Amino acid sequence: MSIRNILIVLIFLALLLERNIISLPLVFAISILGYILYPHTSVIVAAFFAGLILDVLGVNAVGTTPVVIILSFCAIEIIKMIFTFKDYRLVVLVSFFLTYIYALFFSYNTNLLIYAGFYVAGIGIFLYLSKSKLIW
Amino acid sequence: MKKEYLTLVIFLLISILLLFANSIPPVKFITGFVQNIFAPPRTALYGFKVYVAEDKSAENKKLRDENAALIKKISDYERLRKDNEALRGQFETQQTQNLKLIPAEVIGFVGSNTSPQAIIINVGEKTGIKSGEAVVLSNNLVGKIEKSFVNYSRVTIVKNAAFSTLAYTSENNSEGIIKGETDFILLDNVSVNNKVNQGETVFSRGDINEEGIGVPAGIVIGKISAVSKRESLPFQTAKVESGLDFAHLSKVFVVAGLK
Repeated sequence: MSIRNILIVLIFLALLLERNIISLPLVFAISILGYILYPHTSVIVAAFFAGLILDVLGVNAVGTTPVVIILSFCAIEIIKMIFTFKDYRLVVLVSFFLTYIYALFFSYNTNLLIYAGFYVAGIGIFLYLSKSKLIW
Repeated sequence: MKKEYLTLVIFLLISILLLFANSIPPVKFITGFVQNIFAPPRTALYGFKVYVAEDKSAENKKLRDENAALIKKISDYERLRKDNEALRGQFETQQTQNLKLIPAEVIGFVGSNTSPQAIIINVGEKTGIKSGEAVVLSNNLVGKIEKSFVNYSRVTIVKNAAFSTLAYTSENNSEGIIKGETDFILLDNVSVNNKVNQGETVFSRGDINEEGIGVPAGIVIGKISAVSKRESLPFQTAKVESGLDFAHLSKVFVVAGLK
């Protein structure tokens, strides 16, 4: 299974955990990461449906999360036009900021220490993936 | 134009359209269907989370349960005392209310794990749940229904900054407004001329609209843990501690009116 498909499966698995066991925007974070690494239609479609289900399960107005996710994808496209997006540190930083802003607005856990932990772990994973030539 | 750009625009438009079509029957039907599918795994996972957390703090849970039971006893005693006083003085008696309760399971939460700001319960419009209805547990106020979907509803917890209701204290009958402050509950707008003591129980004053929806009177909100009073200010405030542990609620009751 390719990494892109694994990410799509992870987006849907995150649906079960989010708002139920942990209070972190997993669906959003994985979608952002998936789109940065693989800006493919399948990732957009998966993120859209996962967002819809998240709204239904979280008793939000249906469509709110997909709008935010897709607007974030658009923001990534704009960032891509300005910077060269081949530096993993920039990828992690953009994911980190977008996810944290989303968490602030959608009442998730906003403990910066947790997010910083994920940031460091993200850099580690990217380092490993790029050294193993699994991405780029 | 890149294919991905076109997909982004199409899905953005569909999402915006859906935002405006939330209340149309086909969307409601699909919403109900999805909620039905996800209800069993969500209930099981949330139950697992509560179980794991409970196991670690069994002693704390026991104490919290005892505390909630004691607060309930105090509230019953206070109500009886007031009824007696009123009867003796030939004043209006405070009718003991029989509430029509709908049981519900907690299946999710909004906010942090340790201090949720809202909970999601497995009853909705199908069961007759309406926005604004109170949610209680052992005569303690949990919160109000913020929004209800077909099979799920979101409950704004008393600690949530969006929550407010009228309240009074047990001993001195000082009236004020209960407001959520994210991490704690605040009894605000209490006149400086009224007495507020630490340890007093705070009850809901009754905040029901013409349709009979809202927080009924006499529901325990919590106990006063600290009082802030300045003679130069017209109002005093008090910090209120709820007897409930909102992070580990598994069953609650929606007040669907009076019997």
